[in-house]
Amino acid sequence: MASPQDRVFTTSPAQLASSAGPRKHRRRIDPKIWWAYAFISPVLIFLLVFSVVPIFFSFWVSLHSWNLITPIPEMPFVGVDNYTRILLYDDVFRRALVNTFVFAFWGVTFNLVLGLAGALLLNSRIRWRPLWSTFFFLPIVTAPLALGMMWTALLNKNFGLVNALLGSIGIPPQPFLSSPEQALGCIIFMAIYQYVGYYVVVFLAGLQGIPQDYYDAAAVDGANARQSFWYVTLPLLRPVMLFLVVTNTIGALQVFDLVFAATTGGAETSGGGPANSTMVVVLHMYNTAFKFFRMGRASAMAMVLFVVIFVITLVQLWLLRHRE
Amino acid sequence: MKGLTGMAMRRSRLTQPFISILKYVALVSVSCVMLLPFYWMIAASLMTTAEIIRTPPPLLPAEPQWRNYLDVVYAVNIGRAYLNSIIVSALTVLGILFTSSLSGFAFAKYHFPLKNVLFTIILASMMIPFFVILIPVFYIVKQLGWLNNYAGLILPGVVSAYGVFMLRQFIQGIPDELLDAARIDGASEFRIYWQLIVPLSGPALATLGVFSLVGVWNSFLWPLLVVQDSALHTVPLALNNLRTYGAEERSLNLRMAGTVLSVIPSVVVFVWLQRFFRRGIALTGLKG
Amino acid sequence: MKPSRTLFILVVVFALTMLNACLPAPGAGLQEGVAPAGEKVKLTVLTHWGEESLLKPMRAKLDEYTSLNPHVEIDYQTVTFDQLLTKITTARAAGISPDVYHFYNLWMPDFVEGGMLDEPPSDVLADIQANYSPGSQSAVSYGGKIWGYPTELNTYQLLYNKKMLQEAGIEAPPATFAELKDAACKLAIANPDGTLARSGFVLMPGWDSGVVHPFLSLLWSNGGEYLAPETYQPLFNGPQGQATLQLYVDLIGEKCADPSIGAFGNFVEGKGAMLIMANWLRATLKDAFVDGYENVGVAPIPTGEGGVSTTLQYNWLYGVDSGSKNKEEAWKLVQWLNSPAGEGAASPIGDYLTSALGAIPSRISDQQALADRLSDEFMTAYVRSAANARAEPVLRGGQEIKTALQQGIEAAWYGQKTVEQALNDAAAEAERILAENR
Repeated sequence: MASPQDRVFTTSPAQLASSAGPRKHRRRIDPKIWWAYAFISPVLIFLLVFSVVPIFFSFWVSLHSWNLITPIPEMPFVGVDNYTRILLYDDVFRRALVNTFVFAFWGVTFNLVLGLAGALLLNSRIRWRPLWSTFFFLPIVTAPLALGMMWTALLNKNFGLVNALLGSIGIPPQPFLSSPEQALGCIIFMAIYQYVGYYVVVFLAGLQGIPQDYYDAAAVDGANARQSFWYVTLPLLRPVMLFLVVTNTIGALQVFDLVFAATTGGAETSGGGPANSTMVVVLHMYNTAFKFFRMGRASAMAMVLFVVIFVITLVQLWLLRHRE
Repeated sequence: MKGLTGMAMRRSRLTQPFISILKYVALVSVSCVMLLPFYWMIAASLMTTAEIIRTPPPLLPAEPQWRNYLDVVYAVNIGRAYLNSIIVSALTVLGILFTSSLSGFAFAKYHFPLKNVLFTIILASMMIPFFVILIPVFYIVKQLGWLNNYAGLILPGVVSAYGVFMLRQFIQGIPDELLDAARIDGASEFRIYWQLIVPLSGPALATLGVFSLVGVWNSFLWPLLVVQDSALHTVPLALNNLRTYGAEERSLNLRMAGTVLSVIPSVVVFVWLQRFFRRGIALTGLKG
Repeated sequence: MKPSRTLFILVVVFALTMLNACLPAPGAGLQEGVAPAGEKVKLTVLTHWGEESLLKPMRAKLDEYTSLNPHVEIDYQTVTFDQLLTKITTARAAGISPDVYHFYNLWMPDFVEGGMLDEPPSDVLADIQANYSPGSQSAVSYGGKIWGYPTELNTYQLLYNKKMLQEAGIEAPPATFAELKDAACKLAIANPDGTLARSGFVLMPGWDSGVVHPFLSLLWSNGGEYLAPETYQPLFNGPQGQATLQLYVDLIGEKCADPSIGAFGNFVEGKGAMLIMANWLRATLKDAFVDGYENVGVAPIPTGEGGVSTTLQYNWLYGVDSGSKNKEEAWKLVQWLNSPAGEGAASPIGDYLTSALGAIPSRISDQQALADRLSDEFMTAYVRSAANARAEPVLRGGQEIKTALQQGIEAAWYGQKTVEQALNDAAAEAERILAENR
């Protein structure tokens, strides 16, 4: 396959290399800003209609007591009652917040490291590359239901394969998902398992974007493999890493499906067990809205979570930008 | 090209045989673990009801129950569901790729007033769980007359904040000099987008394409609410009819058979899109 | 580039044509607007009986109705149990509610308070008052009014594995708390490392009904009370409540039960000897009970000192939407479904529940007319228990209080709180929930 840009504009590799410094910020106002507005308008219009307006509605609901059934104009206004209720008198919500943080922190950290390692491995000179990357990707396409079922069976205290393996090296059987102490760890492990493929694929795409010339230049300067990793690969992957950290933290703080699949035996169970040890914010929110008919309180939780995620995202953007 | 990479491989094998072996050991062991759920789905899809509700279920069915697959095909109108899912997923993913690359490009390469504010709003839209805004979104879609037709299934999903962010990050890495060169050649801004940015974003677009496909293909709650007519059922909705009331676990074998049938397209698309992931590697091979 | 561009244009053209084809009739396929006189009346029915084996027999019943009433057309919509509430609430917010609902009785308070349900006409009321047990009537009542036809009925009984009890030399199933504990401890089998290979009594943590319904059955059988009759003040933390929870905690503490052997499937598979469970488990037991369906024993809920064996019952019911344009026709359909097809015959729903679903119909005449289908040892025991079963209290916030109690009970099971602390905390939470809903 020929490089696509050669067909459109003739650019020599030398020119490419000379553009070192991956980004050059221009400070003057671009005269073509109208193009930019036109380019972003589809996204803005759709998000306005299908996200921003509904989010404002949700905020409005959070100041009311709404059971989802009462006609919207008739729902009683309760001020900040929903907020005081969840922040002061809801043990489960507090527990869920802590669990969610623990889950997001460890899940994202491990996945970042393992995902990069996987991508580097797949990007090195190996045979049957498409085959390996397909395997890495399989857990992503697998239904959470199948994964939840598989792991509950594998991690079963009495007859699970994992305990059989542990037993063979002399470790006593562990209760795993049925223990309040170990369940959250198991969920984090499952998250790593299911999502590491995403990181690998995104890192791979990022690695493809690093021109070989940079490595050549580093080699000419006498850099060894480790040095070119630290001084070429990592810095140039920063935009990709920023993207992965930010979006996955946002996603992990809203984890729902995975916990639901792993901790509910069927449609009737509420999940988050044993004894709330795997209860996460969005699961508690879901139960509050669609089991307890308390949409106002669930919306208040959503707003609190929103603020938390927003602040964390800003900090991440700032941290990762600051280091450049 | 194959010859070249092949030669490169032989060379590396001669110089670093140990590292090479280590690599394959890592690849094989990770792949085995990653294949587990897939193996599990297939095994479970071939079990009898008695086998699947055993705790723990056996690792292999005593005798593969191929008729489970026939049962699925008979029980639900899977052909129609596939057609609907293909139409909905293809159009949604195309929409996401188009809108995301367009605005990702704008956010990466232009400076305009309110840029950071607008970008923050886009990011912020990802921070609310969907079911919290489900009711207003449903109301809006109903007002637009999109209930119970393809429009309601497709249009609310053609924009992805995640996609905008992803492509912004990748397009930032494309050197500005390329754009300037194109402008000197007299290209319009849209032409730059279409003939320069899109081809150069190949790996990112392929990645986003696969991710969005997996999401749209498996999406369940939204189609369930939007669709009343079973002729519009997508694959997850059709498969949902396989559940047995009050005893979910009893139909798991059939549901797993359905799941196997439903993940095949995602895997195929992933394998097919891999040629885009390899683009950079091909270039490397030529230059090296 | 060229081929991909052509493809893109093709796809866009295709998309636009298709959307055009779909767009013109907004609300097409939805039951909007009043049917003009003389035209067909369209009724939308929403239930969770969705899979094929349940759809076909129900369609047959509905077809029978439409052939008897040619002016009626029925749109039978189904979603699964866990999506039913989501479907109902979004449809209501968008103003496209169905005409007839089939739903869980604990949802009724919010449905009624939100003005969603229509009050039954007087002939329907009279029919329900005359032909259903007091338990079923109170299960479909809220605020002193009946809101619909009770359909499926579930109660709880003590299930035991006959073979295991025999092997352990236990002649009769436990009838009291003390006997339950003795039996469970005899039946439990420990692993060398101290964990349980077989649980004497299977617990079902993580599932609100699976925790609370057996607990309440035991609590009532111990002479205790869940919530005060009129005010709904929590009473479950009284001495009888503590004694009931203490029974569980002792079972766990003395290694006779283990919350990690924690699902009814463990009983089915022979990893547990006893279980308190609802009759809908019958289908699974028939298919898969480890020692064969004939070895499933059913006994009344064991009693505490001075208590009378009592079981909890919950129901599903048919109701009609208050905003329906065709309320009269909707009630007619519901009434037809639930009325005997002839003298001494079963109602269409009774026939359906006992054949397609293997459930107990709420209507007493159905229980008699279909006695042959309810006559095995298992069903007989459950039907008998229904005669004086108590309905799960139906109040606003009922589901939330139930969950609070579930969490208290589990905290005690896992040793995170003492019995007293766990129940008092749950009671305090229940008070807060009640205050909010007043």
